[in-house]
Amino acid sequence: MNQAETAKMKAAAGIALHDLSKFYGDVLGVNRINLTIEAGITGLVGPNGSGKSTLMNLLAGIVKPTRGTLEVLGVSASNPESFYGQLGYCTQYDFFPVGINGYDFIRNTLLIHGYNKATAKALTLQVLQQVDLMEAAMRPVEAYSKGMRQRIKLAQAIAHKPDVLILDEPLNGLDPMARAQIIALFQEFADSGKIVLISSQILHEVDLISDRVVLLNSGYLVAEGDLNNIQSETGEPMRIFIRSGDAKKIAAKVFDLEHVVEAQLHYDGQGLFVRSSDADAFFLSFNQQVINQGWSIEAIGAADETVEAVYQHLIVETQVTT
Amino acid sequence: MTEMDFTPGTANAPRFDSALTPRLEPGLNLWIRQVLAIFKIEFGKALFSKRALSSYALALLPIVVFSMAALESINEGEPSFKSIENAREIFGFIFSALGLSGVIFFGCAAIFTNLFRGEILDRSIHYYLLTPVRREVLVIAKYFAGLSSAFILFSLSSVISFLLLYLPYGLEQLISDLSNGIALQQLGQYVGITLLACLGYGSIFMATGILMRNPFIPIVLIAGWETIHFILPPALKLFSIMHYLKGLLPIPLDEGPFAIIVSSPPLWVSIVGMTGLSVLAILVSIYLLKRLEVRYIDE
Repeated sequence: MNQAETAKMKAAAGIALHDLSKFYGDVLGVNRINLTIEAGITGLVGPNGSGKSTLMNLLAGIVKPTRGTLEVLGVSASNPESFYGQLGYCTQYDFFPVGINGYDFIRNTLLIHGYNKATAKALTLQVLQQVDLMEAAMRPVEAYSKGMRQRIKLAQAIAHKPDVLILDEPLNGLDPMARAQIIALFQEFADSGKIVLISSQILHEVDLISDRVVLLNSGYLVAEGDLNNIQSETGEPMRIFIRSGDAKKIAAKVFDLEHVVEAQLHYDGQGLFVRSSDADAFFLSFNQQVINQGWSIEAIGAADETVEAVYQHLIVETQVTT
Repeated sequence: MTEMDFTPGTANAPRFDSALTPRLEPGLNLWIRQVLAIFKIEFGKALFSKRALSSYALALLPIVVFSMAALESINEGEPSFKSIENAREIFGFIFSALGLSGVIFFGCAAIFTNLFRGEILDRSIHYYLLTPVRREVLVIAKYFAGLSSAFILFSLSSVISFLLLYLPYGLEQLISDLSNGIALQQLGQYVGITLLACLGYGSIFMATGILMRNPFIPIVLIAGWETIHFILPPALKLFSIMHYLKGLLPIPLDEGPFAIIVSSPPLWVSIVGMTGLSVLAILVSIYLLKRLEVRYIDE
């Protein structure tokens, strides 16, 4: 069995949270979270104070749950050798041991992991190369730029080749080129059957990277799954864009179709936005009409199947209402 | 290309063709390797970082005092003290008043309090807590790193100060005292007391460093308690580390007219007492560290 297959088998167990709650005195961190995170990239999204960092810290075992259980690949944090051996955590905390250089920062961690000196050195150099910090390796971390500090933290989290990677705002402070490199690294991780959980405030990036999203608000799990499912589960009419030279004709007829609640012509007259309360039914009846009417259709698809749209509906609009 | 071909600090991109040795499986061998790795890191921090400056300054104090006394004797052409016996008596007094109560006490406070509190304050403790190391292993490794560095620093300070005492009396006197055993015996006693003091004070300061947000409060409270130990009633003296150490001094000290005199505990009681205290304090530290939570963001 090769490494990727082993990783895939282990990841099948995933991260399992059962009835997980954390209270800081009377203050709610997260409440009754039931969640399973499987292999691939999962984005954790929520406004400030939603409990994202509390959930991240619970997952990393550095905060203990008030109630409930948590297991990563079938292991709990009470077994630190196995738990942290398979987990890498890149915090958003921008602090480092005083006076340490990048090379020692990684190497010391690997020695504590239980690697011998030669392997620790080899893995350190390998990961420094991966995050493009070979040249700066012997400089004190305190002298690094924000982007370099972010990369050295990431290097430390992945140096021991974990099966689960938890990343709290990992793209903060990175320039576009470094972002692209790091995102490619995450995707490489996920493609090899590992679990990557990313918390980010930058929604379009979460959208770009994630296979699934977990939405938190005020300490509660609001939604989880792939965007398609969340979108349909919300019950919010789906916005569909149709690009067609017959956009005006379609606009005139579209309300004959079932479940259409809104239609709006695109400003160039070559497209149409339609809002439907049942997307599947709409597509079925629309296809029939296209055949009957002989309309030419260039493209058709969901216009708001993004994390941002889901976030807007489930969190922002809810907050405005309350 | 082997791993030896790579040099950090260069732009050359290394390739890794050599097979890497997997990390040790959980068990005694892993714990020993982890203790050694953490020991090395912490030993370096305690002795070779900016944090160590205050400990060095303290360790230098008795050396400066005895160097000045020796220089004065050399300048005046005759020893400052009547005889070498008198000089050793004064050394005993200075070791007790300046060495034990000042240098070793505050030196241990600086070294051991920083083992955990230093990292909690500079917000880097989470790096240890995110490694696959049991908190028991972390406490033990850090404690021995602190103990070793404190013992090396302060026993060296005592030995150098003791040797400086002989400077005005010449090498012959030193060789004579070393060969008849009196100097070696006294040196051994001072080094032994230093070790026991580091054991006792060190373990307490490590625990208070985890427990208290402000480490100065326990340092001041313990310093006060240890300062007044000589006027404490016999039952309370049992809770003073100084009580177990002063009885081991090679030269009995006069503690003044207000002192409540009790017989000194025998050597084995002092050794068992300090060892027991350090074991207890280590267990408390492990308990406290197991309860420690790190919050990165105040949500």
